[in-house]
Amino acid sequence: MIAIKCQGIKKHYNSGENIVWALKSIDIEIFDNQLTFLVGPSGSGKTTLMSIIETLLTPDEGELFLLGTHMNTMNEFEKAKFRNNNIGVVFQSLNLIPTLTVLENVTLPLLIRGDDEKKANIKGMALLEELHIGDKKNSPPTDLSRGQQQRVAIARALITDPKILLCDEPTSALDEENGFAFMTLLKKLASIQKRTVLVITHDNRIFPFADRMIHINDGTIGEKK
Amino acid sequence: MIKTAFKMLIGNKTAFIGMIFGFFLSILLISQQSAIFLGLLSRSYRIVNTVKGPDIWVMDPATEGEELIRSMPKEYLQYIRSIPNIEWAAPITYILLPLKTLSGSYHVSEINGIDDETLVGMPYLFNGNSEDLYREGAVILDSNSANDLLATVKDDGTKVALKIGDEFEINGSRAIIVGIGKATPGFFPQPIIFALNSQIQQFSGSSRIQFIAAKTRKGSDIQEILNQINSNPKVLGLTSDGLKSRIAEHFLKTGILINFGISVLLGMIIGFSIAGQIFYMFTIQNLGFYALIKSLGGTKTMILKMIIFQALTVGIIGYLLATAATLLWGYAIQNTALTFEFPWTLLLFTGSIAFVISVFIAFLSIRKVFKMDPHTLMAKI
Repeated sequence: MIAIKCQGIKKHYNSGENIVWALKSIDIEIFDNQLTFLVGPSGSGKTTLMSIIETLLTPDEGELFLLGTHMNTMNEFEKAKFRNNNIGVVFQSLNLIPTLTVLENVTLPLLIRGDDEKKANIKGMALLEELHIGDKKNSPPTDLSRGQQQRVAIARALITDPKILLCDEPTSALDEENGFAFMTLLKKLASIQKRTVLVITHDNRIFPFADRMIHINDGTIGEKK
Repeated sequence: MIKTAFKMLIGNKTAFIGMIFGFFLSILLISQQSAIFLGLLSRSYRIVNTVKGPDIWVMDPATEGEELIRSMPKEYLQYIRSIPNIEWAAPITYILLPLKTLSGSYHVSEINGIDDETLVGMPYLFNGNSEDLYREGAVILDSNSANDLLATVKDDGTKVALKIGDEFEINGSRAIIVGIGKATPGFFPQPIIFALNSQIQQFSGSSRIQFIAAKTRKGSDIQEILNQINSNPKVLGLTSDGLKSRIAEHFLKTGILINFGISVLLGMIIGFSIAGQIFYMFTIQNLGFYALIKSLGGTKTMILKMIIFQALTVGIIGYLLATAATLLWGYAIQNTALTFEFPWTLLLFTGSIAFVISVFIAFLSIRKVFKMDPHTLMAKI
């Protein structure tokens, strides 16, 4: 089933003589149950495309469908609600809030949704236990190793049980062992939990984990495997 | 999310303390200066506060304040007493007369009258008995004058306070202290003396009076009584609050309001600049986290509430600390000659200013947050 569909997506930055076309008509379909890699050199448009899929950025032209929903017709409030319910994101810089504990960081999306704090904590603890960092629930994220922080970030991304999981360069700061462990986890999320997992990466060590790779170069989709 | 906003706020201790300090300084300056100003203002109409009981004051229409009093013939008292629904009316004398102590020091003293029949105008007595006022030359001296202004200075510099039984001269006549009372000081370091109106007449040689204090009967229409009083163009009748306002307006002609207004303005500028700048920097530092909240499904309204909560939190804490410090200051100076008056309306005034500053600094920062593109999260922050 098609989870993400982009049709003729275009996006530019600046204007006049300085105009830069980050995306020049992107047409792609990404399926559920798959771990899909979006690869390409720096400045190729990967991050712009990911931001459009996350609905944080509005394309200049083209249409975006997520889980069969036409996103272009939604207002900002509806998009925010859709993101909260259906999209989980693991950022390259993780973006964990240092003044909150690990558990508070993980439960943040549920609190944003308006869920009860006690119930959110139970769900958050279950996820942290599953990711083997339950004992760190009251620690600030800055006390954790990079690998542990990454697991906190993925717990936060999964807490709302999203159907789409987006990961931006998830292994860039991990050693090979932690990187492989993280990719094994993502693979499980796609194949066993039947989620759509889209990973931006240029880390060729993890390419073997991909079910499918989409190459993007200079704002256009290239080779597909 | 309010809890998250609070944890974000206290997580940055330097900014948190800095913002509270900004609010504290600002509100402290505003409330302390306002309390001093109100203290000064209340001194201008202290006669109204000192004389307990009347709800109507009658004076010559030219009278505007302590410095601008035109006396009236004593006979006007009968006119006021003849007006229906006046329960009682008493003459109030207020004059300045020369005073010479036995040690030879010279002063200009402020003499306040007490009604011979009703003792209206009697101050609170620390020592002494009101019955002694009927003795020849009897006066009540205020405690500050007894302990300081008129005290005898010994060779070693120590002061010996005047006490009951001590004597001095008022306008060349012998006066004897029969009581030590409480009085609100004026703007000048003058001895304050209370005596029966008949005694003051002996000191001054004049039977003219400066005010008539009157009490209306319960349930009567004060405005109607005032209309009757004011139908005589030679007198002016006002309620106690009306007289306070008249004297205050006269006092404000000195331009003192502008001087204190500038202090309040300075306080606001400090609040806007220190607290505003630190809060703005704090928001800029947290821009990435607000972007994160937005990307996780948070709405603009949610972020708006978080930022306003943060601004109000530092505003309220700074306001409470500054108010406590101001009240402590007031407590510390309560028995000195310094002025201080802190009515509940001042709490509202300073609270409103703290609120305005909080909302201003919140909106200053919110603009930046709303302009922020959450897409920047995808890049490394």
